Amino acid sequence: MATAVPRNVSPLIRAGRWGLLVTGLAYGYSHNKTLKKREERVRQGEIDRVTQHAIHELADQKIRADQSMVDLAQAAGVDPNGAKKSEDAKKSGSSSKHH
Amino acid sequence: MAAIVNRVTALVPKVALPVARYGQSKLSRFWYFARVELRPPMPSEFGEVQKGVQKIVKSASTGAWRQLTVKQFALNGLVGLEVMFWFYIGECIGRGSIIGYRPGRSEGIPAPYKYFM
Repeated sequence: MATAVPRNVSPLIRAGRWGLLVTGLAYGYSHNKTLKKREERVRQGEIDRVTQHAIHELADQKIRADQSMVDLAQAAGVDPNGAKKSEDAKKSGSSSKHH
Repeated sequence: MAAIVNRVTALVPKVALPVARYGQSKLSRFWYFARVELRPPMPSEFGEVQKGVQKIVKSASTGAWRQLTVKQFALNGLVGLEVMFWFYIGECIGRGSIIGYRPGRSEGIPAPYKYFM
């Protein structure tokens, strides 16, 4: 192939090649931008959903912790609402009930 | 591992010049053909482009394309396919990845792979 000579490709084919190259470039870029926008919205929605879920999880955890404290107080025979009063009484030196 | 790295770094300056010359020769041959065959159409050639389009339209409307030989028809088909493929190459370049659009996924992947996966 060392004696091969470049041939004159017809202008129509060359115009088609370059025109389609530029068109494809523009189309790829614009479609990618559209998809990026859509993906950004979806991602924001996902972040919001995960945040809400985390908040609800923390709230449930706190509720369960408080509930278990109440259960513990009832099991110990201490009135949970009066626990503060009996704590003050304990601090001032009187003995607690379950000893 | 260290032995391999040492061997590679010792080999690179020896190999770089022949590789560069090989690449240079291939590139210059490619350029010799490309500067004639792949050049973009100049404004002076737009008349011929229009005539070519009219020829195609006339051949399609009069049914003259059925008078082509099978070989010529196949060659025309191949050339048409190649021209179509340039559109998809442009699309790959424009969207920044080889396979498929990746609007959100390429952030965690390092550099050469994020254009393929």
